[in-house]
Amino acid sequence: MSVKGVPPANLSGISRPGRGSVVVKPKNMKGTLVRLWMLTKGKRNGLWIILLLAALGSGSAILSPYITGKVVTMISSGNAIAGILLCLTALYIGDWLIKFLQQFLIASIGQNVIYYIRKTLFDKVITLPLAFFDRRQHGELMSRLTNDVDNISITISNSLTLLLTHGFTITGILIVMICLSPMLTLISLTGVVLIFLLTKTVTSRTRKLFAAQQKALGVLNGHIEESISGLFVIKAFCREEQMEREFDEINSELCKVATKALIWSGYLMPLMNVINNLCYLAIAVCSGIMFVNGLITDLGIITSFLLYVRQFTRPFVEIANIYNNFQTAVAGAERVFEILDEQPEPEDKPNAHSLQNPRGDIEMNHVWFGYSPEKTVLKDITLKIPAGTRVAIVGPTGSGKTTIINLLTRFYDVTDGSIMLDGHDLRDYKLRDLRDVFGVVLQDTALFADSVKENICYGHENASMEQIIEAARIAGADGFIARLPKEYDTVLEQGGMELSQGERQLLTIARAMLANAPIMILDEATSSVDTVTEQKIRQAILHICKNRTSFIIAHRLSTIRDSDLIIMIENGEITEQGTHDELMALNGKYALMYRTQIGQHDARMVS
Amino acid sequence: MKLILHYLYRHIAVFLFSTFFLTMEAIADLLQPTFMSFIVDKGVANASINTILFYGAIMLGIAGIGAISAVMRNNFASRTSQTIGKELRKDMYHKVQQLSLENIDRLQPASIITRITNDVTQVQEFVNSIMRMMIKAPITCIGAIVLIILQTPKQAPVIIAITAVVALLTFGNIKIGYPKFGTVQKRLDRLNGVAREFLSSVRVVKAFNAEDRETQKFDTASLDLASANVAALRVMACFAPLVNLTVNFGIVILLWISRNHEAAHIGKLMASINYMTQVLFAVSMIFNIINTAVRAMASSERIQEVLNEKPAQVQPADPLAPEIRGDIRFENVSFAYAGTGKAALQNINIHIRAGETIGIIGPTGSGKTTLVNLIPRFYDVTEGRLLLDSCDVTQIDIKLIRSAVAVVPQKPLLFSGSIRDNLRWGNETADDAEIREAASIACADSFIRETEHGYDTQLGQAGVNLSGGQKQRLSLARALLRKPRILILDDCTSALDAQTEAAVLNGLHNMCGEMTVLLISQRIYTVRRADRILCLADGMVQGFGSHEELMASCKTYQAIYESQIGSEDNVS
Repeated sequence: MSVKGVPPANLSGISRPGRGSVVVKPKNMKGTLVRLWMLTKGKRNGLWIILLLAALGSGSAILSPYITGKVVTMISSGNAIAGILLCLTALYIGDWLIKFLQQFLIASIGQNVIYYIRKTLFDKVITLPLAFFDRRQHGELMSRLTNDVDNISITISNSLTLLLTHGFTITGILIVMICLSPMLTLISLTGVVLIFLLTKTVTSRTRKLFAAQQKALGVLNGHIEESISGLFVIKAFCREEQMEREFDEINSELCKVATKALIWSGYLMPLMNVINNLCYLAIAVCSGIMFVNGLITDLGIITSFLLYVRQFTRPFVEIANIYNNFQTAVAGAERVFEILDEQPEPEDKPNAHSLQNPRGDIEMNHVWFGYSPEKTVLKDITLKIPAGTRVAIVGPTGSGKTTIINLLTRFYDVTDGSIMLDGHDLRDYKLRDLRDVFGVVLQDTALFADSVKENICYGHENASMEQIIEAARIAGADGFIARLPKEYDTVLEQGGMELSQGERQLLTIARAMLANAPIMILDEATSSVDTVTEQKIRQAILHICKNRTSFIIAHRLSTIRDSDLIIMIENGEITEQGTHDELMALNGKYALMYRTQIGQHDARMVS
Repeated sequence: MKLILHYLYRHIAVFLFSTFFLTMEAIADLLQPTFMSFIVDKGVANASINTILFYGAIMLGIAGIGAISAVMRNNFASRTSQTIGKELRKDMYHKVQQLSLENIDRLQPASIITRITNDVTQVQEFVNSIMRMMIKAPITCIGAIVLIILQTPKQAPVIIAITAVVALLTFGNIKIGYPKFGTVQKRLDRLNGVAREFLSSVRVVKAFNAEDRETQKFDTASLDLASANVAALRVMACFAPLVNLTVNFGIVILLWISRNHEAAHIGKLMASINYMTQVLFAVSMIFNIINTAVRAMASSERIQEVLNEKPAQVQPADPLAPEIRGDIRFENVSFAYAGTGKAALQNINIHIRAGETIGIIGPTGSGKTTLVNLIPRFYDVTEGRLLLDSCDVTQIDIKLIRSAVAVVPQKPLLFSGSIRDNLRWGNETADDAEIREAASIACADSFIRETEHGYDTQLGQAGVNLSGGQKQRLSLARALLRKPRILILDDCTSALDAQTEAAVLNGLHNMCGEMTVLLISQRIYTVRRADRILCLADGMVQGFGSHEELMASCKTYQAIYESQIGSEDNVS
């Protein structure tokens, strides 16, 4: 009779996906479990102790009502009870010890496994190609790294121990009950059947309701996310009231569905309680009648039965519940495995070349590329770039400029054709070496919530302070860094959001400067920097790029005018190429674009 | 806790109903063993089947009442908890909409989002469990104890002692466990932060071969989380089984005390043991609730923080409603972002006449955006005054200002819905012709019509399926549709190629008419057509005048010109 319905898991402090969640059915339960078992091999030392404890734990549940019944019999027949009470006490102390050990061990083993799975998952994620990240929502990936992993380990380990405890308890109690009185056992079993039917009816209804609730919640969360990150615009356009109205609508809808789901699922427990009470009553009445008729001779049996019946039905209910949670967790594990099964960035070929100081000859031979098979982004690009050339890529938005960069750095691999560096296909080099060759400043100014210093030496942790300051100086970032509260040690708490777009760009340029790579790539790197600073940066870059191959993508044509080679891309095709003067002489699209930028001030000068 | 009580109080009637039925339910549960003891002591002892059946019938009746109560209670409790959740979300959302950008900066958008979603759910679950169990558990507990004492008064001291020990253990658990779960929450946030950061910077991570570093960072964060979790769970492991043990000892003592009972009272003893197990069950329920409570408390504190946030700007008590023509005067204006202490703007004194087009240029971080953000009161001046048509902006109806000012921000933000819906933000009542006109000026009409569904094309969250330049043009069209008195263009053509930008600027030039236009840009050629140009550096005015005037007198402007056009003269 100890610890009724209070499985240790409930006390773990981490909520199990209880009644408020949808049961997601795993696709391949057995396979996933086997895989999980293999995965956590060696990381779950002591699990068998926990399982053993779980089995032992059921002992107290099975024996204590029986002993209590015995005590009652002995009291009623006037026997001394000191001895048997000592037994009971010992049983309880044993029970306490088991529960304590079990929970204490589960805490560390469970967390150990979580940590391990999470680590494995992240180690995998970090090797995945960019296409994977571009394809998926970040929020979804995040929830795999956090929630799914937690659920797997906590739920599965808890479910296992609970299933074990309950399984033993049910079997044990059943045996004892049958020994005591088969007739009364039959009554108890009727109760169990009733509870089973009830659970089935209710859950078939709630499953749909919870699915609807989940959907409504998704819509609501989407709305919240959007309206808070876009608050600036909402305020600018005085849309607060409309947004609130939309929100209220979604919110009410959610409330309606959720209430319904909660009410239906809430019927389960009280109705079960009623059945429990009916059982109790039936046992009381029947055993009474049986005692009167002499079918039972021992009052202790009645006591034991009254205690058993309360304990017997509960594990059945729990098992149904646990099984649902278990399924959900296994489905979570499947989602994690889905990621583990993703194709990582292709491994280096067995005889891949290492790459130390490349000359920087780049050749693109009939390169075709599309992010998806239906849509080709680059069409038959053929280019020859001798080492040391300063290349500029221009063209309208969406024409494929950034895609070329993505291919050079092997964020993506060409669909057809090949790109050669120093006479070898890019795919023949070691990937890490290849990436070290490029110093890139990308369109998105990704900074980290670390100090300014760490942001600059990102990827080159052992750079000296002098090198860092020098890189910042070249990038023109030293000025604003000096104004920060702790200069280079200032921590960008919000991942750089506290800086202006231009300042962020300067930091990313400094980062690329420090990398001091043989080939420089600047993808709209200075679009948000003022032109005076840009001019300075360009001088510095020119200085650094001397004799180095470099690629610049820019809208401001003045930035790239003195490049050795200007490539005009439209709709994924090279339409013009040459030096500034050649292209101006050609009087094509480039010349037109250039004049638009310059022509305007000419007009003004005249007027 | 105050927060939760406050919201519960709003539904006090339903709450009381629910409590009433919950009490009925608990009493029904409690009466069962008593009548069972009657069956044993009166029926069985006297071998009277009729008595047994009589009490059995009563038990059946009580079970029926219990069932009805439970169903009613469930109904009320579910409704109340969900409604409270809904109200909390609504109130928070409402609050956030009222907060200024300064508040939002401080609270951080990501954190606000989790507060409205996760934290509210935590509280909602807690409220539900209060109404489901928290009230039932003490009633069952106290009821059971009272019944034991009534039936066997001798046992009173034992029961009281055991209750005291259980209470003590529960208190200790809260005291030690609470801070530990706080740590878990913090570490979890950190882990999420690291993961989010990695996902949004994955290109850079790969480009710089910094995978090891990120792995290391993630590893540390998840190890920290695991150790915090272990610590918190171990506290639970210590206390929870102890509570069980205490109650179980109670049963042993109870049996010991009753060792000399006569057979006639055996039913009472059985009832007592039954009650004891009910007490145990109730106590463990309380224990569970306390765990939810600990988390709900932390959540409600985080919610309270948002609700307590005082909007940095408030609507003036007696707002002025001048006719806004677009005359803007900065009088000795200084501004510093909260918590930085560093002035972003210093002693700005300028007068912009209605209908003027003002170009604003200056190096990165010179305060251009800050300056224009003061006009629609996204932020308020720290010192000095900002006058709009001779009225202090802080005195004017904030809605009036914002409906007269249209902003096209640097980063174009669009919302889920069709393109048409997004553009209509500028003007709810705009018809298709007006929408198309605004879109044409912003050079957006052609690409919109090229999409499969034209103006009905649905945009995903924040318009993910458009390029940066396309988003900028939509954002511009949205502002134009508003036909504002003051149009603020914050470097909003940066993602456009030169030709498109020129076309956009031309269109703007032709339509601006009486509008006051503030045009921020990095490029000389963008601003030089303006009537006057404001040149900023380090938050101070360096020059304010026509292109020629600035070329003659303003060093900063000359340097900018030099960098963009001068050098080109050198080359050509």
